[in-house]
Amino acid sequence: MIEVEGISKVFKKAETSKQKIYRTAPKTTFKAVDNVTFTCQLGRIYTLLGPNGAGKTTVLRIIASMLKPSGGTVRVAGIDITKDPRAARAKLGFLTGSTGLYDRLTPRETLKYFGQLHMVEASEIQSRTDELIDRLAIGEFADRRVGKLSMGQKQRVSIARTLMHDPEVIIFDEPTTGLDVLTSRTVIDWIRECRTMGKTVIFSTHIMGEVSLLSDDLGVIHNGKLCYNDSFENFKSRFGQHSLEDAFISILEDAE
Amino acid sequence: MNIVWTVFKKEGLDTIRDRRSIIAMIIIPMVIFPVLFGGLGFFAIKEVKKAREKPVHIGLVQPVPDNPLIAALKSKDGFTVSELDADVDAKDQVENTELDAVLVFQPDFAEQLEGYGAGEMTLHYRSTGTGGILRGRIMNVVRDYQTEVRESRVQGLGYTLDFINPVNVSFEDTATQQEKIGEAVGGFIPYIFIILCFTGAMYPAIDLGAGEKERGTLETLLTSSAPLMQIIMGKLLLIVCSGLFAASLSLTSMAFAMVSMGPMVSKFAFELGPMLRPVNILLFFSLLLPLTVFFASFLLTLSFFAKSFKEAQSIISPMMVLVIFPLVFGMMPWAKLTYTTALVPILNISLASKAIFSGNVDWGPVFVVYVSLIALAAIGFVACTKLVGRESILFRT
Repeated sequence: MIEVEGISKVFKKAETSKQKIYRTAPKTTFKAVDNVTFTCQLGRIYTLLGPNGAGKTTVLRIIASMLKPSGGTVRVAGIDITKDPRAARAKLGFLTGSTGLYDRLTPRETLKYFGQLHMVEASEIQSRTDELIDRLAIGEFADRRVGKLSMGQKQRVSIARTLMHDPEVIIFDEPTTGLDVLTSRTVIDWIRECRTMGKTVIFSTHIMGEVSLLSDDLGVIHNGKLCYNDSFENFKSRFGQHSLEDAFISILEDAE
Repeated sequence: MNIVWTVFKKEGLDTIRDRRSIIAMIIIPMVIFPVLFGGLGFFAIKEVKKAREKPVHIGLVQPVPDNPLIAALKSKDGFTVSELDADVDAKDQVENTELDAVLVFQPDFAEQLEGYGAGEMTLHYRSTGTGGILRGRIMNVVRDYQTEVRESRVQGLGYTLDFINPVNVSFEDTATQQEKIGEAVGGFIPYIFIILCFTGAMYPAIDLGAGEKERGTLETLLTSSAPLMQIIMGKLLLIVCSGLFAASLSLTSMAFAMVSMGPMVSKFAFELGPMLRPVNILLFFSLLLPLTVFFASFLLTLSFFAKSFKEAQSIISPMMVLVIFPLVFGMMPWAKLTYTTALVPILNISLASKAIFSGNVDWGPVFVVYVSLIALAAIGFVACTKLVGRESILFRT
């Protein structure tokens, strides 16, 4: 379970070289995330939908304790991420569209490395690696360097890497960005599979089609603010007569 | 510490599979000394030898005086003498014909010598390439003739040569051979090793920081439950080892080059041997270790600061100047290790190594060098762990 309560994140605005040299104005800040609250339930998929630059990745990075929130609290599997970030990270897996793999390692070496980083017992690393290689059909290329794999194969390795320490919570940050239809489908299937395994899943996207395929709960974020937060069932009944895209735009317009 | 070791092993594996790192860490240190000694040294020596043995073709512009010097030039082994017309342009002859040198005598050359005066002549030659050696060979003949004339003139007056050489000085050099070589090349050895150590550490550092960002692996690394401090330590350990490995490899390659090629190249390479005693090498590496820790911390911080591999390269490459400048300063013969220079990073290790290799060590300043280098390494390490952990550096876009 993920409990997000009133988080916000303020960044210093990047200055131009001219501003840096002449200091014509005081440094400005901008709020990337503004008082966001939602809950992701165990065994359900929470979709965070929003246009590019809405603050989705920042929210997910805060949940993953990569960024410290400027305000508010986040609990991952009951652990406050600001009080015990390492314990919280042990409970979560993080996957992005860029796969985040090392080209010069093989899938087997990658799984072993991340198992060790998550301090999985040595005996368990072997069995877990074998199990994931088998479940994600990686066997054929398990000992080939990642750099030589196709995008689809890489994404399967990336999923295996995310599941290596058997996390309770999985964060998918725009996992299908830049993927072809077939590879996207593999990822979508695996997000569903994670729900079947009883994991808490949070998934960010700006692709409407994926929302209806996956969502149990939905949050719409725009300009750092959560402007919709309810179950997907309620969303459908509220905007039933509209297409998903129309409903999304209507929410964004209401928020502005 | 388990995580440090895990990260170190993974980064090591990743690094040895990276072509760029292999070139900087292994290939360059391995080939530099064989190329320097065996390649450049061998060809330089060969060229000098060729110039010393090559036939010298001299042109004498008429009128040529009737003088024993001419006979000496004509009879000297390896010399060919041709007489040229009086109206030739000596410079043109040197530049555009096969002549190596042209001698032009003053018309009263012979008369001056006969009348106990000094005959005047001009030697036209080209100083570039091996021209200096050719000039030396001609001047040896001239000097022999001068000595002969001087002796006969002094004897004619009833004196010995002591008449014109009233003080005879003999020199006794108290500096040992090791000190002399250490003075001459002691600064050169740390120069090469420190630069190779820096470049050996540079590429892994860029790959381990900016490379992580570029590949998008930084996020996955940061979401692991491993403490960031230990991840950074593992990376630093690998960078330090890469730098020291490059330096050790260059030392091995130098030893190999000296043993296998030194004697045939020059006495110089052979004489370096005693300077590189195990105790000196051990002392040098004990100085190099804290410096490498500082290099690694500095490079990794810059690498994480950069947004991409390319930006890291453009930030880090100019830093080489900061390393080279104090090293070049340290190579100057007048640069000495004092309590003040012992506090200047890089220059201090250069001067301390020079003192160690020449066997002329003042341990007081060397101790200060150790203390300042260890302090520098500690500051670098703490700064690196503090800065790299910052969101503004990790997620700088």
